[in-house]
Amino acid sequence: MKHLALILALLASPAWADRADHDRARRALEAGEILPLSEILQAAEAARPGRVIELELERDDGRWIYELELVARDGQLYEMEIDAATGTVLEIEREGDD
Amino acid sequence: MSLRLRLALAGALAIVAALGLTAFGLSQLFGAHVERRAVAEMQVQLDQVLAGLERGSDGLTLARAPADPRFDKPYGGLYWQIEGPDGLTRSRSLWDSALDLPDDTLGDGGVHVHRLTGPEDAPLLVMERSVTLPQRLGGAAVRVAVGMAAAELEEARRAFMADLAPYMGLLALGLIAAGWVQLSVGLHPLRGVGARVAALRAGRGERMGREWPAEVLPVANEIDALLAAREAETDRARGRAADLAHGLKTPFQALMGEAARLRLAGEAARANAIEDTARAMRRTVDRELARARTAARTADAVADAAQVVERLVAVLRRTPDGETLDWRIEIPPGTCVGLDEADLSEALGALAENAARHARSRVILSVTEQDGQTLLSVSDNGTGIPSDRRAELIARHGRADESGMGLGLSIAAEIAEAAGGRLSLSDATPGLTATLVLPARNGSPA
Repeated sequence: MKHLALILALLASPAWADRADHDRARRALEAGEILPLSEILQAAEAARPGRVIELELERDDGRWIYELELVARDGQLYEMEIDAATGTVLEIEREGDD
Repeated sequence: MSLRLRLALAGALAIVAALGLTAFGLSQLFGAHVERRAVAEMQVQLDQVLAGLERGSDGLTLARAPADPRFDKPYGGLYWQIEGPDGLTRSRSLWDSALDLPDDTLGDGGVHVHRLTGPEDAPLLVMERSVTLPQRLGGAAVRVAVGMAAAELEEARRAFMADLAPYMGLLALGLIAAGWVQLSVGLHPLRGVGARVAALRAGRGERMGREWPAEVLPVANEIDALLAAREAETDRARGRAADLAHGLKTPFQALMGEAARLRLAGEAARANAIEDTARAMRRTVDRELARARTAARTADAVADAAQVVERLVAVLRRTPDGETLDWRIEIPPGTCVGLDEADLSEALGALAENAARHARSRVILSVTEQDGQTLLSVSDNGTGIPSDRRAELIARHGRADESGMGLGLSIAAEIAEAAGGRLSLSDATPGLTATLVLPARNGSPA
């Protein structure tokens, strides 16, 4: 249900995000804590080819996690979690399945 | 390679090269146009960024970000960045990267366009402006930049080229086809030259004439001059041949007279020997005359076979060999063959004399048309010639055997060959049929 809530939040307000998440990303990259976004996008493309429509960088239990939303080639909307430090895909699920 | 193909190839190459250059130029123009549009758009974005500047607690921020959603999407393709004394303020789309502006100082209000490398190493078109902020915003000098992914511009140009290519191809095909038509029209008179020369060779016409395009006229004139020269030469050769024949007639008569006197004097054997020798000489001379005539033969010669045969038979009926024979002429009046009349008389005369010499009771002269050829046949009902000797007789080419048979046949064969035909011998059961096979000729004797 967490994701559904997220979607609802998304739909309700386009300016949902913490406006400074890109500054956090840049600081984390400069500190060497995460990989560049281009590598994250490559990992996402390898796991589920498609078009990334939104992404977010989260701090979760001391780990940096990228949360991506993408439209796959089959037209399905997916949500994907990728470890920002390693580029490992942690979770892929179709939107609304949980 | 034909002239037409040569010209067509050169034309096609020129067309393709010109259209290729045109396509390249258009693509460059379109690229420049697209870039101008992009720069104009970026100018608007840059103004919006400047207008939205606010001073917040931790430095400069944008109170009102430009409306385009690409500024908000990480690596979205549109970027802005403000470089002030407190550090960088960036669009969200830049995410973890920043625009690496080159170290050039600009005067206030000056605008620079750079080509840089942006997120994901993609080429960027960047517009930058230096501004000194009002006191309300801290009064510092800042560099404000807006960037756009150049891939879109390149993509637009490629799409334009893809749209343009079929039209260029069609245009090329159209121009090449038009060029081909132009060539056909322009080179048409040259085809006429070939047809006219062929007509001259076939005897349908005397001269090329003067109704030609200026470029072809010199060739036509030269051909006419050549024809005139050849005709003059032919006339001279015929004249010499006639002179020779005439000149030898008197000495021959004198020799025969001498032989007759010898016979009267009781020297019959010597007389015969002299007469034989003289006849052999006469035959050789006749043969050479025939050869001279055939060599000088003109292409447009036409003879009426019926008339020639009538005259021949009239003469042969009065000879010792011919007077007892039944002469049958099966040649319709007006039958024409492609031979000079003198040549035809010579060839038919040789065959008819042979036939008269060997026939038992009759000689048939006939004509048939077959496969575009005229077949003039002389048949006797004598003993004939064994088939294995016939080819040999024709092939002797000039060496008379004792009967004089081979000589007559080879003269006829030579005349027929010179006219593009041949002589064939076959069984008449009984007897021999000698046939002059000649190319058919329509028309009347000149």
